This record gives sequence, C-alpha cells and structure tokens, in this order.
Amino acid sequence: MPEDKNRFSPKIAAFCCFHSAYLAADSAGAMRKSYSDGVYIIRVPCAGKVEGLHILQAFEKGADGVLILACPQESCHYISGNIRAKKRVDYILRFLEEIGIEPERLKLFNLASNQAPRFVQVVNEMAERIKDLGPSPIKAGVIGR
Amino acid sequence: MIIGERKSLEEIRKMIGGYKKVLVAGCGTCVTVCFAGGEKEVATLSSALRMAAKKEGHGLEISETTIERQCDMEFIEELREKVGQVEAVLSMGCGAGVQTIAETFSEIPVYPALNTKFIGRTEEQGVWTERCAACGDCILHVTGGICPIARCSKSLLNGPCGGSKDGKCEINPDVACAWQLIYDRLKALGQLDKLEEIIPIKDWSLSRDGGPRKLIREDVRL
Amino acid sequence: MAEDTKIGVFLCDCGEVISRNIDLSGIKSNLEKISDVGHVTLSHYLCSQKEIELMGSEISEKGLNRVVIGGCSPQFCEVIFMEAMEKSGLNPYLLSIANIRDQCGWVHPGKTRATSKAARQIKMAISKARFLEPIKKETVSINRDVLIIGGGISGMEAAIELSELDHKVTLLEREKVLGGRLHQLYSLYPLELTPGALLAEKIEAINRRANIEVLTTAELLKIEGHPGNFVAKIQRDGSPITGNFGAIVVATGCDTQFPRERYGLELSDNIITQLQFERMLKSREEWDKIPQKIGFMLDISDEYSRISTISALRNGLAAKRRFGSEVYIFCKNLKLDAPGLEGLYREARDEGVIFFKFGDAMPTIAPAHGQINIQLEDLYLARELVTLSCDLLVVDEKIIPQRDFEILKSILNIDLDSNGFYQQANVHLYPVSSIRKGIFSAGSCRADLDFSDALADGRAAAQAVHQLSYSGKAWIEVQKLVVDADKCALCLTCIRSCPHHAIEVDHEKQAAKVIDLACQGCGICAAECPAKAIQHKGYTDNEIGAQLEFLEEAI
Repeated sequence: MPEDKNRFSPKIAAFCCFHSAYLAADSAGAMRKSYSDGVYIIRVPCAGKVEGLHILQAFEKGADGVLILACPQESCHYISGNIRAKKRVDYILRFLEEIGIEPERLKLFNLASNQAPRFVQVVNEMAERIKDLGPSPIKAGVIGR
Repeated sequence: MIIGERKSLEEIRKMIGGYKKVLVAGCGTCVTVCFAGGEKEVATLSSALRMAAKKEGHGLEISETTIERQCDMEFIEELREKVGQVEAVLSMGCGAGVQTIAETFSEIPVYPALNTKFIGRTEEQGVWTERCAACGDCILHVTGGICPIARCSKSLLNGPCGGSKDGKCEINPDVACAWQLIYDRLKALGQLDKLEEIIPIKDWSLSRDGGPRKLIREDVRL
Repeated sequence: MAEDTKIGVFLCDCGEVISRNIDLSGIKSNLEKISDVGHVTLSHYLCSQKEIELMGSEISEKGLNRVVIGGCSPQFCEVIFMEAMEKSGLNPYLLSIANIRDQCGWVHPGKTRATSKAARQIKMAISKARFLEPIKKETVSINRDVLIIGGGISGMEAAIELSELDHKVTLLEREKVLGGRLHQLYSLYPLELTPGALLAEKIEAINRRANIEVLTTAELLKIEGHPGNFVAKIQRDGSPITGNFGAIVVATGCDTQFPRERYGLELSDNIITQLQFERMLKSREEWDKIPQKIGFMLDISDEYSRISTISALRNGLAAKRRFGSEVYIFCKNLKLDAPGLEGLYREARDEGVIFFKFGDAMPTIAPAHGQINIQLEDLYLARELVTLSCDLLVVDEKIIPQRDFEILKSILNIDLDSNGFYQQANVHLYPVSSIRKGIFSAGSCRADLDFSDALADGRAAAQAVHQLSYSGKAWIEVQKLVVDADKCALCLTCIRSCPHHAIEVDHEKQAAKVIDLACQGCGICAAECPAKAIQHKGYTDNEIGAQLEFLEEAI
C-alpha cells in the first residue's frame, strides 16, 4: 500500500558546506523563509569532505533523499572540493542504480552563501520530488515483510 | 602493482545470494592503491549489499575487515575468528588473495568481488595502465624499457605489424603502438642499432605455457 | 569513545526568540533522562558574559567533558563557547552545536513540529559529541622575512609596504634593473605621472629603506621547507645564495602573445601590437611618417581582457593628441569595469576617437597597398557592412603570465588557473593568496590587471603576508587531520588531491603526513583516502555516522 502522499514526510540528509550552503541556510533562517522540516543539515567543512560511503550510509540508515550542497562552480572555498563532490556523487549514483534506488533521491547543487532563496527552493523542490517518489525503497522492503 | 576492478553488484549478489552472514574482506596493498578493494571500498560495497538485500526483504549481515595483504598466510590468519562467524567470505583482494583465503579456510566458500585485471602502473590519479604480462622472460633491456609483450596488442617481438598508424595501434586509436614507443625511445637513447638484432622466438614455457609457475629461493627458505 | 562521556547540554532561548517556537523546557526534561548527559541548563542569553562564566564553572564543577549547545548558528557564537571551554580547562574542540534557531525555530512554523525537529537536532549533536576528540593547539614560529619574486610595479610596491610594516624583504629581479613592464609603457594616463617618474619614485623609496635587499639578475632555483619557514635557493650572476623566508610573494608579471591564428595574419610594419605602439610613442625617431588613420582592434585575441581595452583607450587618446590622427577603436564590448575608465572612454569620445562595435562576426582585415582595410558589420548605425582603411592597425594580444611561469610553478608547487595565471585560493575572498599557505601572488601574474590595480595588488599581498607573519608566530591545530600510519598504503592519493599541497610523505613512518600550518582543513584528503587512513577530527566517520542516526527514527 503506497502511503498517502500528504502524510508522508520525507527525511532528507543535507550535507552542507560550511562556507556556502550552511550559511545560506542560516540566512534563510534570518529571512524566516520556511522549508520542509524533514531536511536535516549536516555541517561539513567542504562538500569535498563528503565521502561516497557517507551518502550510502545515509540511505542505509533510512534517508529518503540525500542532498550535497557545495560552493558555486569555479568558486569553491577549497578550490576543488565541489568538483570532487560532484564526481563522487556521480559514482554513487551508479551504485544507487545497481541497488535499485531512484537517482532522483541523490542530488548535488552548487550555491553561494548569499543565496538563501535558492537554498530554500532547492530543498523544497527536493522534498517535493521525494514526496512524489514515496519513501525510500530500502525502508519499503523492510516494511513489506 | 596488481590492478583490480569491482565486479557489478548484480554479479556479486548472485554469488552470495543464498547467504545470510557474509564477511567482506579487503586487502591493504595493491587493490587499496587502485581503489578496488581497500577499507573504503569494503565499507562502500558492504553498505550497498546490505541495502540491496534489505530492499528485497532479505536479511544480510555483513562483517567488514581489511587486512594488510591477502596473499600472505600470517595476515590471512587474522581473519580466522571472523570467518568462523559467517557462511561465506567475499574477498576484495586480487585472485591471489581470494585463493589464499580459500586455501587457508577449507570449510568456507570464498567468492571474488573483483576482477583482477593486470600488472600496471598509475598513469595519473584514477588511470591505470598495463605494463607487465608476467611472461617470465624479461626482454626490457633490448626494447628500451618498453615491453612489447604487455603493450603490443599482438605481443610482437621484432617490430610493428601493418596496423601501426601514426604511432597508434589499430585496435584502438587511444592505444599507443608499443613498437613506435620502442623506436622513439631507442632513437632518443642513440641505441637504434639494438633493433637490428633479431629477438629469437620467445620461450613461452617460462610463461603460462609451462603450466602454473613456482619460484623457490633456497637461501630465503627457513 | 575512549573515556566515559559526561555531556553538558546548554540550551539558549536567545532572549525568548527560540522559545517562542520551540518548547525548550520540554526538550530539557527529556534530555535529562539521557544517561551520559550530566547537566542541562536553559538560559536566556548563553553568549552573555554572565552565562558564559556560569557555563565555565558548570564545566569544571560537574566535570563535564563534552559540551553541546542548542542555540544559534555556530557561525555566530562558536568561538565564544570555545574560549569559555578553554578557560575552564576543557579542550575547546569537544564542542558540538545544534543550530536550532537559524535552522529550525526560524524556518519551521508550528511549535509541535519545530520542537520535535529541534529535539532531534540536539540529539544529533549529542551523538556527535560522544565521538569528539580533543585537538591540541600549539604555537609555531614563523619567519618574518619575505621573499618577493619579480621587481615590477607589484613587487616593488609589496616590498615598500612590507618594509614599512617592519618586515625584512628580499626583492628578486631577473633583469639587471627593477621596473619590469614600466620600462615599456608610454603613459599611465589619466595619471599625470610618467612611467619613468613613477619608477624613479619607487626605486628611490626602495633604496631609502635599509630592510629591503634588492637582488638583480637573480633567479629562484628551489624552495624547501614549509610555510613560515621556507628555505630558498637563489642564483645570482651564477653564484648560489640561500635565504630563509616565512612567506613568498610571486609578482612576476605578465607577458603578451600575438595569436596569429585568431587574426589570420602576421605582424608587419603597419600591423603592430600595443607595446610596439607605446614604444613608437616614446621615441619619435621611429616614425618615418605620421599615420593619418590609426585603428585599434580589440576583442579578437581575448574577449575579456581589460588591459587591452585600457591600452587602446589610452594609446588612442595619445595618438589623437600628439598627431591629430583619425583614431578608430574596433571592439565587441568595451570593458570599463574599474574606477576612472568610464571617464577615460568619454574623454576619448570627446576628443573625437570613433568607436565601432562588431558582433559575433569577426571583422575582416585585409592589408593592401600600404593600407589596412577593415570590413565589419556596424551594429550602431547602418547594420550593414562598412569598410574603413587605416595606415596603421594596432592589434590586441593575449595576456599570459611571464614566460618562465611553468618553471616557477613547479619550483613553488602551486597551480595555474584555467586562464593560465597563478591560481588564487579564492577569486573573491583571497585573491592574492595562492593555493599554498605562505605563498602569495600579486599583480598581472595572477590576473589581467592594469598598473593601478597592480599597485593596489602589491599592497594587498603585503597586507596578507603581514597578517600571516606579523607576530612571528602562528597557532596551529596539531594533527586535526590525523593519518593512521598502519593503514596508510602510501598510494599518494591525498598528496595528489590536497588542493593546498599540504601533505607530504613521511619517509620515516612510511606514511602520508599532513603539514599542520599548511593545512586549511577542507578534509578532501580524508574523503579520498581509499584505505580510510585519514580522519578529520570534528568530521570523522564516527562523528558523521552518529549524526546520521536520526534517520533511523520515524519522524
């Protein structure tokens, strides 16, 4: 039985670079711009710190979606962290495909610290996408038995 | 070093499909360096396998470990306790590693998670290329330090075939013609005369044609 | 978890800003039930002097060994809390902050939902806190002496500025005299000062200062050591010199290159570069005959070069004034994005310089009978093909770093950006810092800069050096990124992937080693390591894994 779309509240782990997205999230707060409360921010010094393994672990622990939010292209605080993050996300997407997890559940976005509205848009769109997809198939498998 | 590459998740899952408790064993030497079977790959593959099983409602318990070298018995011994608690071992070592585990633990099935590809070098971060075919009879001294056995698609010994074009091999324009490389290097070294020497027919009995090989050093033996 | 954790949780309602939307007292009573939470308080302004002191005494009295804060973003108060912890004898890195104000209370309307999220955020912080490890801080000495490579305008300016800030400076110049590109320029318009006068002024300032040593006909051969304590091997007139420096400023300037393939023609007597034109302006003798019509071509070699735009405006105006020639400037877009340029442009127009703007179709340039015919689609007026003939065409060039930049790049172990200039640590935030700590770049070797920007850049680099080394010492976080030598396979991945070149091989331990002063804490190495031999304290696998535990609960 698919869950009712409106009742399903997706859990999203958002790895946020402390030099960009984390600060954007803070200013979204200062601007009182509301977004889905299922988004949990995990602070990282750089998107390049997020390992593929951490992304898989998030799914394994029950994330319905994972966001990697990195500095804008060409303007990574640590020069190449956002590029490394993108490549790892691409690698893990292939893994997700092999496991049978929809690729829409893992997204990387580049945004700057002053882009609070974009942060809100990105996380809300992600939450909507995940609502359409329903709960993670990893959880569904367990519930099914 | 030995270069390996992970098999597809699907193939691995078929191998270990029936088991509920599996040990995923990594190797801390060659396959760590080529990103195929080090501690991180062990953790990543294990997580993926657990999820794939969970998705289909199977229970799969995985224990993870990475040892220094899977091709040495003393290190393999470190696995003994963990092996006792599982139904199968999935080795992320090279072919030698998988077999050392199999030979050490006769009672437990061992499966390879990697395809062992070749003996090669890191050309750049993330790019590995073949350099040695372990033919057992090295001729690098006459070929300018470039191996025609491993790097010529036909393993020719006395110059290129007709498929060498603009320094590239006919099998793939990304593959350099080994004989072009040999020529260029000998020319740079001023040793082109070496090419006038005919390299005799290779004794393949020193390679795989002679059956499985064995090396004994009495002086090193205890 | 090496020891028994005793966690102190300090909740702040930020002057009731947080408690308006989050039931902090409810959360507090739930937290008190957690076995290793030894203390929970709820305060109004945790960042106030009084509350901070109270926090400090709670830490020492109750023997707390981890601190968890539930309050505002770490970007605001983290440092204050760390200081308080340090004062009470607890390692300041044993701190974990739940950002329940900016990232919860302010963005999730509805007290029930916000409260449940905040409670979970605090639990995440507690889970992380259990795995936190202390980081030792140490002071290391930093040599205050500075090496400046390149005695052009930026290098000289940096030397003067640093000398005024009381740093001993060694100024390295490859040529026989200081000055670099200033020798080739005709005017610094709109500055009244001529290049020669400016150069004389700077050289005099340098000679006046005892703490600047000028080494001409000298080149850098090798750099050893680490930021703060570099050892430079220099060659001067063939003889070697060794010097110790805390920081290095690269100010080697730029070069120009005429891309004949872009133009589809060769330089000749009447097709010349900007620098050739400046030389002609300087020495009257080179003129056989004064050109009546001069064209300046822009945006063919490099569409984005500001130096080319400025040169064309400056030289066009000079030609107009000195010879009364007819001057045309052909461009795709003028780059007037610096103070004074708009004025320069208007002045040129007022003096009668004529501008032609072309679109994506490149103008055709055809030399014929001592004339150059330029045909282009005029986008301003007719929107049709117009043909103009000039006696002299001055072409734009590609601006590239000085010719031996490849050698210097490998000596200094720094990178180039996608335009071939020295890579800046961050274009917006740290323009004069290179990817390596202690190495800075200034002037036109790092970007397409005009002389006035190059001057300012020299001063900026001097200030950056001063900021790093003014006190002669620096704080480092000892082994924040810690390498497990047993696990390290020396695959070199970390060394290759470190954006700051802060990792080297420790031959004794046969493992990678992070140079603490050079490390900028991005953690990329830890994430790349295939052997999981590097852990980034504050973001270890355990700490990240612990935070992900919230996912296991139902929301």
